[in-house]
Amino acid sequence: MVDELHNRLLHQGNGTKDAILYKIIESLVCSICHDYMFVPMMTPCGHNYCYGCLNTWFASNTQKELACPQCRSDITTIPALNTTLQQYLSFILDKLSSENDESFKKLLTTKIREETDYKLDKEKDTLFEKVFKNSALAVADDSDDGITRCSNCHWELDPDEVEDGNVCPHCNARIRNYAGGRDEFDEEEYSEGELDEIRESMRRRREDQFTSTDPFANRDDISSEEDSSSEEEPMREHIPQGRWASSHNRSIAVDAVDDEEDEEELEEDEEDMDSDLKDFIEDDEDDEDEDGSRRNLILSALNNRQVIITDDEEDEGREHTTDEEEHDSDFYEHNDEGFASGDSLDEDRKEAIQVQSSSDSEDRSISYPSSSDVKDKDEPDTEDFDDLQPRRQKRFRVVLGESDDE
Amino acid sequence: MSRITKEYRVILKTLASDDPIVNPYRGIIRSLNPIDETDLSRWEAKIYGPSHTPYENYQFHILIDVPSSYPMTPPRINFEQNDILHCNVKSATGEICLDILKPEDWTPVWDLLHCVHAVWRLLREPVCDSPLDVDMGNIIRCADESAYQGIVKYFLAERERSRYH
Repeated sequence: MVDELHNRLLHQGNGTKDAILYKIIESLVCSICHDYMFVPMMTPCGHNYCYGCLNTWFASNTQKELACPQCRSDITTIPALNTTLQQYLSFILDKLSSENDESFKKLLTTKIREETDYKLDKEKDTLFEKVFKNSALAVADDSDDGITRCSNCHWELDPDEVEDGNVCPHCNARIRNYAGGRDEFDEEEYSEGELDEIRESMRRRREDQFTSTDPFANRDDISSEEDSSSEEEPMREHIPQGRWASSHNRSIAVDAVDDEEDEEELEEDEEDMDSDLKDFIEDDEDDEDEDGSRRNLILSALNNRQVIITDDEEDEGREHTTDEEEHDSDFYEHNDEGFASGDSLDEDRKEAIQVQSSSDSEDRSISYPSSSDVKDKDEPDTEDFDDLQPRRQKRFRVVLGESDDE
Repeated sequence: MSRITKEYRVILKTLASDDPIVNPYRGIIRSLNPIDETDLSRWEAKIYGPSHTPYENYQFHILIDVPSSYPMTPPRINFEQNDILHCNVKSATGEICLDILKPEDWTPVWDLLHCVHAVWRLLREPVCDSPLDVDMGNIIRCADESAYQGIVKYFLAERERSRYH
């Protein structure tokens, strides 16, 4: 069956052949410079750009996470040379070569120049101006309620702090994926397939964000049920609400799509929901703020769970997280082991490192607890707050130990 | 050759075509061209008011500044002064509030045609959550469709009157 398309192509008229050829040549054009890609680099999301263009794009947006210009998904791993496309173009150039044509010569000169640029950077190991070496990733730490941490220094990445700059507040590394904060995009700029892709990644982000902004809020839920599926439930609950809240900003058409999806997710969650109530909710889905919060109330009542973020209370929700931060740093400050709190970072850090180095060997032996360990420990945490402190303490020292190695 | 030069060629070809596949902007963009052919950093465009909006049957004049860093940074796009009344436009200056034209939301895969098209779509779908004209934004937020239509139509009728008398 390998020959199927080959044979078919041979029997096509010129029109079809031209259309196919045109399409192929078009796919060799970079959407940034609108020129042929002599060194096509493919991003993890599958889009291709010239090496030079992508490099300039990464450099021109130093304040942001690295994102694909076409689909905006995070570029977390270094783009790879797409040799297939490169060979297509070389082959086409080869077949169409005409030595007397000035503009063709220009094309060849550009090709050689761009290929040399890439080769030199590759040999010197400075691809993309080392942005993938000098930057860090925001990683959700699953063994710690999914708190987002810098992959470089393991500092906790607070979305509010990272929001402007997308730089780790501790080691100053540029975070090349999303670390919280901005979550808006123009849905209408994307085709349906891309949109789904983005929705999926947004959903994941929201999960990250949710777990990282209020680690204590869902503690009640986690402590009561140990298995991982129950841990996910409160997250799922929040996602549709978050989207519901943000969907008010969008056009009506998009709203409808969003809400439909929300409804599906909700129904999954609330399968045991009284049908009367379900109707009530669906009828009201076009109405705005008031019903959003009413719906949340119903959900919380049904699940007997604490729902924090509602449409009307988004600001309150934010305050809520701030309170928790203060609470967090307070409880680091009260710790006599020399914690670096977010507030008094500079003074505390020196102290912390000293303490850390004195007990370095001891700390090294403490590894991150496995996930099962954490769950065991999580349980008493909520009932007895003091139990939480030693665990945090230990991890924190390990974190500093690693950053010290740099 | 710079990207804007390449775009210029494509724009000429696209807008000259009557084939809806080649030119999807028929009935949307009337013209898009550099003000001075020798300077591709300053452009102007004329768009048609979208149908089923109070802007229908009127044309709007857009001014575009293409920075030297384009396409890594977005073009600066404004309406002509006092050309339009819209909740996302500061009428007196013509300043437009459109997310994709902000540096943080811009991506270089968009070109001038996309941008002008996006402005046209803004006329069809005003975003009252980020208004530059707060009064117009409030009218939309109150869902007072007829008031919005009335004010815009009055403004545009006045605009035409002052232009031709």
